Amino acid sequence: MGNRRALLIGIEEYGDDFASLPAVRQDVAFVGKALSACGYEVEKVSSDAKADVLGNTLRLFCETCDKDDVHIIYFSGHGRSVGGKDCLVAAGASRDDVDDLENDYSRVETNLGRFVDRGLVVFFIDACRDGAIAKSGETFGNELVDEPRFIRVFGCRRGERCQVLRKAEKNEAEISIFSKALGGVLLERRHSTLSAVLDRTAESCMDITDKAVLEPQLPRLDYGELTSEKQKILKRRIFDPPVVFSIWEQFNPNHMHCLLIESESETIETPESELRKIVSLTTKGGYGRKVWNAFHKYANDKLLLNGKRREIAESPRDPPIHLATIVVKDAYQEHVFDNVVRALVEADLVIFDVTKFEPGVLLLMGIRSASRRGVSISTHGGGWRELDEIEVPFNLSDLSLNSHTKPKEHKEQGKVADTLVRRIEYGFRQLAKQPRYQDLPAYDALRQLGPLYEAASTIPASTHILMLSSYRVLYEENWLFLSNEIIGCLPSDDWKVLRLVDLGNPQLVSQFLYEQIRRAAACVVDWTEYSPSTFFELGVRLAVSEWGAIQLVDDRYLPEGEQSKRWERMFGQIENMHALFDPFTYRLFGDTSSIRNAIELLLKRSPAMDESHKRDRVYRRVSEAIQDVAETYTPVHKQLIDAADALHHPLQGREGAPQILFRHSRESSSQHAKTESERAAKELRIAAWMYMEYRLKAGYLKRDDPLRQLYEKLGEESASSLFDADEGDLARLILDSLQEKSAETYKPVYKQLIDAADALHHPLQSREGAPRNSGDGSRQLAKIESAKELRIAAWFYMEYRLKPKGELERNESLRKLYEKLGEESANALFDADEVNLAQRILDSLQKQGKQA
Amino acid sequence: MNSHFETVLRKVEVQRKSGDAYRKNGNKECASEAFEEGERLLDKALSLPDQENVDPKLLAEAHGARGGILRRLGKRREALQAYKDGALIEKVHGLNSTYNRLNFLKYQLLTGDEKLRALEPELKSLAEFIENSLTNTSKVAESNVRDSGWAWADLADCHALLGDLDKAEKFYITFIEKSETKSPKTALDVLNEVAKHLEESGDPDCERVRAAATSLASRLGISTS
Repeated sequence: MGNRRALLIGIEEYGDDFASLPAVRQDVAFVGKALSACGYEVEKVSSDAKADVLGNTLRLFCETCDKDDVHIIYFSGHGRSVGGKDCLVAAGASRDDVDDLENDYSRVETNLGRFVDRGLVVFFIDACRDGAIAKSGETFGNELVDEPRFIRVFGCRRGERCQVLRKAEKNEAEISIFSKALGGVLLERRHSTLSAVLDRTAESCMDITDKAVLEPQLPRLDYGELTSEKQKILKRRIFDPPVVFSIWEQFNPNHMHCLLIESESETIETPESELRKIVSLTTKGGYGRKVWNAFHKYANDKLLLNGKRREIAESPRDPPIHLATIVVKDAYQEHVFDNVVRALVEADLVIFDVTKFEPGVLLLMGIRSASRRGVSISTHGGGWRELDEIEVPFNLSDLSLNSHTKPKEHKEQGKVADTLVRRIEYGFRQLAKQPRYQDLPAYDALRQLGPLYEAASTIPASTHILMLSSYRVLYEENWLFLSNEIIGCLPSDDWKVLRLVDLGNPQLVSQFLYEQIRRAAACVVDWTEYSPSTFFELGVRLAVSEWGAIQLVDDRYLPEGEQSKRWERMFGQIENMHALFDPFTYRLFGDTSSIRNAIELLLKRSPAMDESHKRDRVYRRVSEAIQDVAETYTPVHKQLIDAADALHHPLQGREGAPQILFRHSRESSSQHAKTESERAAKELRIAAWMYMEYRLKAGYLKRDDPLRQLYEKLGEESASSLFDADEGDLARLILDSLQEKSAETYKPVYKQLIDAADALHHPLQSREGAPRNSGDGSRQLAKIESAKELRIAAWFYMEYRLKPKGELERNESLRKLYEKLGEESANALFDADEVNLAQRILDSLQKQGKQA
Repeated sequence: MNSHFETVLRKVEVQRKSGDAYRKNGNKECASEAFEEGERLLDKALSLPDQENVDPKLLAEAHGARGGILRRLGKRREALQAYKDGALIEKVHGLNSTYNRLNFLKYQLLTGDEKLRALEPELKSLAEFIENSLTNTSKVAESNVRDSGWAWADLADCHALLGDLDKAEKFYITFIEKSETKSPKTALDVLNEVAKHLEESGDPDCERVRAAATSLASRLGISTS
């Protein structure tokens, strides 16, 4: 977004025949404050500026407006039409001066369009248009101005006066009605497109005049003929509405990330919603620890695509849980949306407030469901409680809905948080246990397309164009109209546009729908009716397809359209989504040019050639974010073991508990299903072991390496099942290999030396006096000498090899052995009158002892 | 400690099966080596200090596995003692598993310490205990014993030894449906062994057990070794 600058002009005092305007000071102050709150850099022109200064300042202000910039000029004072041109009256000017056609030193023209080459300049003029002071009878504000980049907005209609609201209290300042309304709407910051601000300002003016029992006053837009280009400009955002959210800057693999998407309708009256309080509770204290422990079970030790391993601390006192909260309407702001998509992918836990199944929430759910298998909780408020009847969007019909409606009984207040925490815990536990865990539809259906090459290939537009839209009866005439128009735009008669129902596939809707959404190159989505299902599908489509979607909407469903009133409590998100996605607008049974444009774009689009990335924006954001959070594929041996265990677990033999379905048979001796599951499990286990043996060479890893331990366990289990199947030869091959690896692991050097020393002359021998070996005395002495030297060698190995590596610090039993060995060696050295070396060893031991 | 016991039990199981396979092929020497390795592993584990830190279920299982290995080595006396130790753990800790308790009774027959008739009250009491734990809903909720094929096998064994073939068959079928394919054969092998020994020791009820084993094998379509 470009620069936002505002220039404020307020002229209070004039010369002869112009009334002074005491309200101007307050007008400028109030509008200035509002524009400043909207992020505008506000500049004020001196109230006694002469016409030449004023004119130059305005010209320069317009000329410096750059591409993507929005500049606002605000004027409160007298206006005058002179020679057919609308002019501002400069400070101190008299009526005669202003009306002098020969000289323009006391007036400034308001048509500044010729100075605006780029960006957008909006000129708000709070001045009367009743012609009461016009000598010529010309009314101010009638000049024809028709520049797309320059818009004038007058505070009243032709023939009306811009009225002032008299002070009700002594200390209250007078203020012009238009300025009060405009400033109020801007301060509200609920509407951010120019058209919405103007509409709301007009409503506010009417309200104020009505309450103050004044003549009606309606602001007027002066923008010439409203072409589609101009309509688009009017829909442009003139400031960014405030956003209350705090999405983490970077994903930390060792923390937990939680995102709450709040519904708009639930936050209109209470911006600090109950749900936000409840979710906040679940991330702290005892609740937070419960959630964390469940999360630990799922996430700890997971290897991510970027090579990082998630190290999730076990039972920390204050679990590092990041909670980001955003109201759905704010999620669709231009500068916020990318971050929200990133958070939807990164979050380990997302909580969606699905109250009223708002389209904005459903679209975000679609993105989440397509991109991540984490835990997602769908919770419904608005008075709904579990077991109450509810109409759920058809493609979410098996969603397990939570209720966050306040309990009826006061004593049950804590129950809502309890239930939510229980759901989260259960979700993470199941996610840890079940490789195919899902709490939203689509994830597997988008990926499990079968092994054939064609299964995941793109379905070309020539095969069919996929249409996602409402299925309500009311929509039927839109479908008939649209499908006819679209077919008319297609290059050949055998091209078709189809909805899911028209494809005639007997497969489950959920399986078939998401396959189509992923594979179809051409997809048209009609927003009309704001059907929750359609928006969920749109979210999925935008997340998984670089082809994106061509989006259309019936003009009655535009934010200002007659039908949009039905979605009054979702207005913010609808307005923001329109501004963000900019769907093509069509008129039912009317002009079809926009449909033609949309289909032309659809057919000629090729993702790789598209540099604007407008259509694949979500897909790209998801692709970027997924790199940091996606887990690596489960290692092959683990997949095989899991598959084997799911068929026939090794514990089954010990417990005798059944694992497969349909194990009963008429003849007890012919239990084919059971035998087959045991056989398949055995083969999978053997394959896993062989992979570990020959590919991973796990048998050569250190004994305490978990992979080595798994290799041994698996080998024994495989051998066990082979023996059961009377395949002893292969079982023995496996056992022999395990045995061989076991023998190949050498003892640590110090241990070998000590063992060799002990074998020659054990330290206890001196204390017990028992003979170790028979033989003559000189041989015995030689053995004792050799044992001493071996022990010294072992001690020096520990001193100079293991100690610098810090192994003594890490391993307490090793340190104790080092001390014991040092003392034994020193003793032996003292016995052999080698006092210096003995003392050196003791010094080292003492030093080590102090350090310890 | 628990994971160590799990590992030992796994290693012993594979040694036992290895030994069984050798024995089946007539290689008695190698079979004995495998069983002895299993015995060594169990002896070592069961002589470790801090046994009180081990899950009693695993401890009982280790005694039971030791009994099985010793039986294969022909050390019936030691096997009887192993089952007795396991049975004590089962009782003291109120375990649902009755494997050691039942084998303790069977081995009293195998060693000739008791006649079948003398053990009837204990067999009845054990059968009652198993039936109770299989129908007690609170217990079921706690330990899923109803899902354990071995409980049904033990119950069937009790009824087979008590001469109630109909009940034995019914419970054996449940056991067969739940357990691994190979398990019923192992169970019937023991029953046959008991029958054979009762015959050798001139127990008046030996025919009852022999008939039970034969009839069950034929009804269940299992060939015994």
